[in-house]
Amino acid sequence: MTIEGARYPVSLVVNGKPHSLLTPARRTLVDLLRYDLGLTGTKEACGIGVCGACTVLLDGRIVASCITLAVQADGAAITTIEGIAQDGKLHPLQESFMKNGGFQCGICTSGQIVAAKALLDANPNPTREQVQEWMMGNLCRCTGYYHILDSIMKVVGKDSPSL
Amino acid sequence: MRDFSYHAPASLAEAHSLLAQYGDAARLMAGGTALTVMLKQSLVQADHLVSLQRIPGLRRIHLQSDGLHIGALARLRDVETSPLVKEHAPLLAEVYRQVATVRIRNQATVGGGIVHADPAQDPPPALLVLDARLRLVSRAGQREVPVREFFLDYYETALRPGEVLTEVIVPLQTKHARAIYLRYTPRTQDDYPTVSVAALARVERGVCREMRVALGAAAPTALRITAVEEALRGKRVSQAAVRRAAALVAEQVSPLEDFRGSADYKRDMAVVFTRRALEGVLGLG
Amino acid sequence: MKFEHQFTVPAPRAALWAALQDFPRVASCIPGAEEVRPGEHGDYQGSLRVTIGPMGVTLTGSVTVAQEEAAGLWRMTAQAQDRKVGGGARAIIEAALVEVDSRQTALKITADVQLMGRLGELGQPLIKRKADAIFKEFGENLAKLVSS
Repeated sequence: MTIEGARYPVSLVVNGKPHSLLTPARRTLVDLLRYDLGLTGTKEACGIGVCGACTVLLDGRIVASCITLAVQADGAAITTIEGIAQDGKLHPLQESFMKNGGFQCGICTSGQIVAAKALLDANPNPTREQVQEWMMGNLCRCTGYYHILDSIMKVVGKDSPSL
Repeated sequence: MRDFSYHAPASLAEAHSLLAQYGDAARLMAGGTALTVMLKQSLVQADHLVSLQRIPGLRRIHLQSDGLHIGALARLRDVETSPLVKEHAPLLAEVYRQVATVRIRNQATVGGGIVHADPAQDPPPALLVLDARLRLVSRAGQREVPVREFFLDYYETALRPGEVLTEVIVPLQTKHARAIYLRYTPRTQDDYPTVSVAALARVERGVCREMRVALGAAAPTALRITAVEEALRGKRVSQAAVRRAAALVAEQVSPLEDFRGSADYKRDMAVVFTRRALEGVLGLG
Repeated sequence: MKFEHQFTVPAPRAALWAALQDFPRVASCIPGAEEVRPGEHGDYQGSLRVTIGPMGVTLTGSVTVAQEEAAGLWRMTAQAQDRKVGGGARAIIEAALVEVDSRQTALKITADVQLMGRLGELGQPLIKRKADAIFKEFGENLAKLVSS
């Protein structure tokens, strides 16, 4: 039988800061970030890895933190939306989303920005089509897709007008 | 999610011991993208989760004389971006690139996907036409099972209790073979296909010398369609022959109705997409 | 969700009817049925474990049985819950015994099943397929039971 109430040690570096916690095996990474570390910038929406709202970087790769168990992330470096700004200065993507209206209700925004950052880290000069393909798993129920794309493309430096 | 115990063995031997100790109460986890969702929905109950992620060597992709070896813990994204896969099994690099979204491909593993055995997954039809084999390792020994004999039913496979899928072996294809994968996704690009087709062919002087066709999402498992293969192998390539062969698919599939379409609609689409795949791989149209 | 299933049992109609009177014994022919026993109100209690690959539900509940011997009709009303998955099922199952010849009897089963909660999300065609497999195995087991 399961050992009721068993806790497992998890060590993570989150946004550059090391944390060591004891957590139940069933705790998802998004819950650990939000409830144990108080980093509520990451949102959980669909809960089944489809919508992209809970996107964080795990050792530099975007993952869905809602279907990642915290114990699976033991030893990893995590970057959340709270870690995107550096030295009190917003990331160019954050500036661009604000300036170009890259969000409406905001629920998907942290996932959008973290996903876009991962793309630009790997490929600073993507085409609009490459951005579209990369970002297709980040859903926006306000359907603000053109402004989101524009916000990213303005950072890339390719101003392609939306329809 | 109901609570469970978590084990992250550092070796395959240790994983086998845990499976022997806990039996039915244990579930293996690789990337966890499918399993975590099923655990969250309580569709799967596990008292013990045994993660394979700390076992060294299982993520390796390397070339041997009998083919390309892809470790079961290789992430889909690893396969998509691997220069070795691009060179020796370009069809697989292309197919894995089309699975879900990059976020899922960063987490989900080749082996985890295969043992999940959802008939609508993208890789199985491609693995079927490549005649891939699976290495299943238990405490007592190991065996190799062709992918063709692995899928038994919806979510059911030939994996026995205590066995772990450790790698996929993809035989190298002759240079002259062409391969294609088509997926029909009328809803969104990251959806499971309504129907999908993989085909591999070799044509010499207008005659089809080799033909392999497999469908996904069209039956309880992904499956090879030998009737279509036999109808074309050894025959002169023509539009008419392709049309006749593709029509045979209708008799071979047994799709389930769901929100992607009725069984009849899927059967029709299976014929249409098989025809397109055959045309593509035979250099017609 | 309605299902129909029919199979033939190698037993005369009267013998099959008699065999069906021992409900827990008959229930043992249903793959996945566990601990079927008489309840307090003339009903039966028990559970049914249904698996699809790694997924599984255990439906625990009760069945009431009504018979019309002249018509050769069995009517079972079942309701059950799965505590873990969150969901349940209600079913009305009718079984008609039809004489094929002096040595064989056909069992015609019609079932009307309602799934509630998460169970309903599994998808009707998949459930129907599973139900067909269960009825088929039940038929084979019942045939073995009455011919042994």
